[in-house]
Amino acid sequence: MAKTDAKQAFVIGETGRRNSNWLRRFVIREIGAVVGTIVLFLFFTVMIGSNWVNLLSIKSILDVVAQLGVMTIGESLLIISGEFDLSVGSLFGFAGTLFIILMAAGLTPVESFLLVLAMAALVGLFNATLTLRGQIPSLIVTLGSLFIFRGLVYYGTSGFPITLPAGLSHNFLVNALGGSFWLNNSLIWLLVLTVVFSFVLTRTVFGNRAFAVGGDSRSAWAQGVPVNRIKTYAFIISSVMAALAGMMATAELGSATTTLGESQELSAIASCVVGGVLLTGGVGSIWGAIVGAAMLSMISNGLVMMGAPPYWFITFVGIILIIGVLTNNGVYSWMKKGARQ
Amino acid sequence: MNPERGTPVVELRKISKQFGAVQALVDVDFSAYAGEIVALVGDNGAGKSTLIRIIVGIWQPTSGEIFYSGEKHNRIDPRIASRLGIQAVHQDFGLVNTMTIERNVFLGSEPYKAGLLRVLDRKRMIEASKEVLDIIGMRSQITPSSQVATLSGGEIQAIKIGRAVYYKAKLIILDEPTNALSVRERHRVVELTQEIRDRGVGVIFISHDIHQVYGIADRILVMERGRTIGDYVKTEIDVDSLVTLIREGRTGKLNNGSS
Repeated sequence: MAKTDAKQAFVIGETGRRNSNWLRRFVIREIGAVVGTIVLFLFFTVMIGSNWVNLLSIKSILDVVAQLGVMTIGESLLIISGEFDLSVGSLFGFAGTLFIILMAAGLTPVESFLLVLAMAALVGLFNATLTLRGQIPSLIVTLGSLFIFRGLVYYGTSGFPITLPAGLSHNFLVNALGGSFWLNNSLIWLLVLTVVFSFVLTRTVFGNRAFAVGGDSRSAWAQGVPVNRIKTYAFIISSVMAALAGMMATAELGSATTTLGESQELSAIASCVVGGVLLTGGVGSIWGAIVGAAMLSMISNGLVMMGAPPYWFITFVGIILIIGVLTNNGVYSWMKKGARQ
Repeated sequence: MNPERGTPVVELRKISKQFGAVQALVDVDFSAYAGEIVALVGDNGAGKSTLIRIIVGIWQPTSGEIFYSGEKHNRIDPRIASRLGIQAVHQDFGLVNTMTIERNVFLGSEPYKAGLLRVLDRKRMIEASKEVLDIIGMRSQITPSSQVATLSGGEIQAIKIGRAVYYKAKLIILDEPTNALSVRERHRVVELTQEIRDRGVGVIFISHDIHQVYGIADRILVMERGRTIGDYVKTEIDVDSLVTLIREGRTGKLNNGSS
């Protein structure tokens, strides 16, 4: 009897719970990405030396990181809401291509930019409607969108790179997207959007509901949360972010190719997973996913600098993805169990 | 029905519900009053869940009328039901496991500071969580920032009930609230149910455990295959007759006789 009471006190007792919470405050879900990034950074610094540090300051590489990051913001928000978007890579390419096509057709950069964002919002709405009304898993719906928009990229480019109309490379908006005023503008976009969306996710009604519909949509619905509306917003944000990132890419490169953004959806999802976003929804953070994106980019560049053939990167992404999922699940259940003891 | 108890919080008149060829409810009349625990009993498939889902607006009745505090409402959803003072506590959902208590308490009607972004009023959320924990007497054991996944089944049920009380519910529907709970937690949930009844809240209590139900109910409604076959004030029926009625139904004796 005494033993049971002691155990009971330990289970629900105040001090027991507070202690374990206190201990576990050090173990955050993002720990894998943070530790991994630091370790890999040191590893590459030692292996490559000064070239590595130089590499990190090369604008084009930072731009790629930032573009993946912006896309990852939308993807992480959507995964937290309990859905997937496989179409972001294709949409990235399509948005970049359309941006150039519209400007070549005589629209101003601002008009083109706004039109592409509106198009992306419609794509998000389309993905959301098929998923939520049609009750088709978002994985399948957005896989369809992935093919549709990749096909449209081929159509738009006719298989050849298309370039930004001459004279527009010094346009303010084009520079704001892909240029550099005093630091890479893409990094500023990434920074600002990360702060804004982290705030939205953790401090607003929408954010609270996004976590709720991803964690347990039935409970959320029973409490009066408009589940479909929240998920629709998340789909739209995901598409718009991908389109923005795609326009940042073409603005920076000055051209769009058929492979623009190809398989980037996998990098975005992998970044989320590595950064502690639970694939089943309801758990994660945007900053964690961004650290994940930085880590993946570092691997890709580090491998190249070490002289490894570029295709190893894909293999590495796969391995890191699996390790990420395993540690996520491990850390999560450990935290749960820990808090119970 | 009983004029001295005032207007029922919920009154169902001739409610029927059909799912394709299945007649889930047939002409059910039912009222629930403030400050009373009415138990809903009956075997699986008797229509208990259908009945409460119609009361909270998850499903719409095929025919019949529903009155909330004397006012007729034809089509409602859980959100409207909640505004009308009806709160359901379901056995296996209601709180999002992956979130903290504080973030769950106002889910669906989060308080926010004015503005386009609708920034959460965290201070109010934390204060409300503390109040909910006070209502169920667990303030000293659990902090508002505890994740729901770390709580026990009984604690989760208690928080759902506490939240309903905090929302000033007039009627709380408890659907199998003690399922899968330890004996000790079961006892606590029953105590809590009586506490909220004594606060003047109406309670509909659904359970398979007839003896438990008989222990706490003021009134007992027995259902069988979509129909109500008995509506008893507890003093009118003893527990053995109740068990017999549920087991054999209204037609039970006849069937036994013929076989």
